[in-house]
Amino acid sequence: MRTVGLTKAFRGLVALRDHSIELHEREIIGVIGPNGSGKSTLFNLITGFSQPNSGSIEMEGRSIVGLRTSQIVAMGIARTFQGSRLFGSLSVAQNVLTAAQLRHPVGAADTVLRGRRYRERVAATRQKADELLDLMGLTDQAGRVAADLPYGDQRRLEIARALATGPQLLLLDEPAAGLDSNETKVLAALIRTIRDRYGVTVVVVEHDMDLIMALCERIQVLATGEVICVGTPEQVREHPKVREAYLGHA
Amino acid sequence: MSREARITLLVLVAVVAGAVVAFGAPHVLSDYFVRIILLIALNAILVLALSLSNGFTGVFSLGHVGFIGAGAYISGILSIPVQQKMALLPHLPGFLHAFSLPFLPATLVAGVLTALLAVVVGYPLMRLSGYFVSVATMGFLIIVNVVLINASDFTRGARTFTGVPLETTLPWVMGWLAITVFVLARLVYSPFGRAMKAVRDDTIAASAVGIGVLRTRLIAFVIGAFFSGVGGSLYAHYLGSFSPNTFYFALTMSLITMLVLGGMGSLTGAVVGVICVSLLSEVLRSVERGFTIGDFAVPALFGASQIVLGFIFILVMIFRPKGIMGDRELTFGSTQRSATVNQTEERKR
Repeated sequence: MRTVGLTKAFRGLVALRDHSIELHEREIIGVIGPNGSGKSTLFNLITGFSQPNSGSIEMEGRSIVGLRTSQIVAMGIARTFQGSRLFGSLSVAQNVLTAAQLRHPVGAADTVLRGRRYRERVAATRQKADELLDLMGLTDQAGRVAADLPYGDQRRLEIARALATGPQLLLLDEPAAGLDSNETKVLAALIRTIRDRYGVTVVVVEHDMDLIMALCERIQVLATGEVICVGTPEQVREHPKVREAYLGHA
Repeated sequence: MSREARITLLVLVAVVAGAVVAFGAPHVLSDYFVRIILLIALNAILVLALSLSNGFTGVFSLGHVGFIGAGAYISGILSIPVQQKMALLPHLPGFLHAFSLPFLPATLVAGVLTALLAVVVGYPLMRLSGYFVSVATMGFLIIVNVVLINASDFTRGARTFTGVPLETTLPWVMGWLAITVFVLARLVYSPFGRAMKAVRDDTIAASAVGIGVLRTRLIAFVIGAFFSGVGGSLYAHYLGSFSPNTFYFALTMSLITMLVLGGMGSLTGAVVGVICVSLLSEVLRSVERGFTIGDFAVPALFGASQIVLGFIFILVMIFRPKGIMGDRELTFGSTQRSATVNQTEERKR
């Protein structure tokens, strides 16, 4: 997936200017920057929640600009949200099932008649959901109402749900927000496991430098909507513009 | 016994009990009680149809009675006997004069045409959420009412529409109720039902897992409209004569009250709501005529039943804000505690 010259302005305010990035398969890449630097805008553009003023977003050579979110998800891009957007009244298992059923669709007639095809697809959906709940350590919580989960579990459930849509590209919006340093370490290991097991490319937007530095192979730094540098964690750490963006002018 | 086996057994018991009531009640009970059972079953169809969008999908429609009215008039026009059509509706287009349909096909046609109407209405409206969709669907109800009053060639306008054969018997209504419950239960407790509830909980998260929000809402709305149209046809063949105002705000309020009172996220809750409200208003209506206990005479207090009913609604909403059933289903022993009920209780603590 890559973006070229991506620009988004809200009225006069330019949230993202001329953004370009090319993602390599199976890499874990971090996007960092101070608040308001355009990180979440980037995710919203990629996933079709808002439309860019100019520029292109391509997935495997096909432009996805203008597609609906549900179509983009079907093409293999999944995301999580800042904070948490679970289906609060559904159980933990149902949250994951709701996403897993995307790859095992059943029609209206099948749903009413419940023939063999229906039962097979429902079973396949459940198997996928069980696998992800197990991976995320949520099996014991499967029957609980999502809104009642402790915060750390909610964050992992959101990742499980995104993963259940069978993505090639996983966008994580501040997955470590609100987690303590131990939970953050566990999360970093989990994200690596996910990449290794499912072969997904992962983009992490994050404030938590520990997570980003420990996890990402490449990092892109944004400030006030513009890309100021891209590189390995070491290169980014030493980059003068990055220090400037975070610490202000010396 | 496993959960599935228990539910299967429960369904069998319900079907047998329903069949016994449908065919046995007219022989045992007085006409008055048979009529109450029939109206409960009929209203249950209408409230279940409403629950699909209002309860499970989170699209709080105030316009379903427009579909009920459309179904009633469509079915009525189709099934008035040919000889009477000339006299009652002299300005009908010729092809409608030429034939009249029996009860079942007229009901099916009414359901299908009403569903098509819902596609047209729902396509723009299902983009709206929250209060906006409620007000917009209410606008649809008003439009239907005005059209019914003014399309007098088809509807006799504000005058009573009459001559519809009285064919709605208890077995018919119970049969349609069984079909409604069957189809809705299979839809609600399926991947599609999960998508509906996901859309209700969070539209943004729903689209982020690949659910088409508009599509999901529209399907729920259209299926609800189909059963509303069917219910409207049953209503028409029960009343025999009616007018546009039969299908207006009063009916809307009463159906919504039953739904909210019974519990918006539960099929059995919808039925429980209908039974409670119907029985209560019948009991209160007979009480308000006045009665004597020994030497103590209670004079007639006409209108008091409405006050008591309103008061009971307030109490239910205060003490069970999610309705009598919340979003649990009544399954006698295998009752599943779900979702929002726990959640609200959690918050109370």
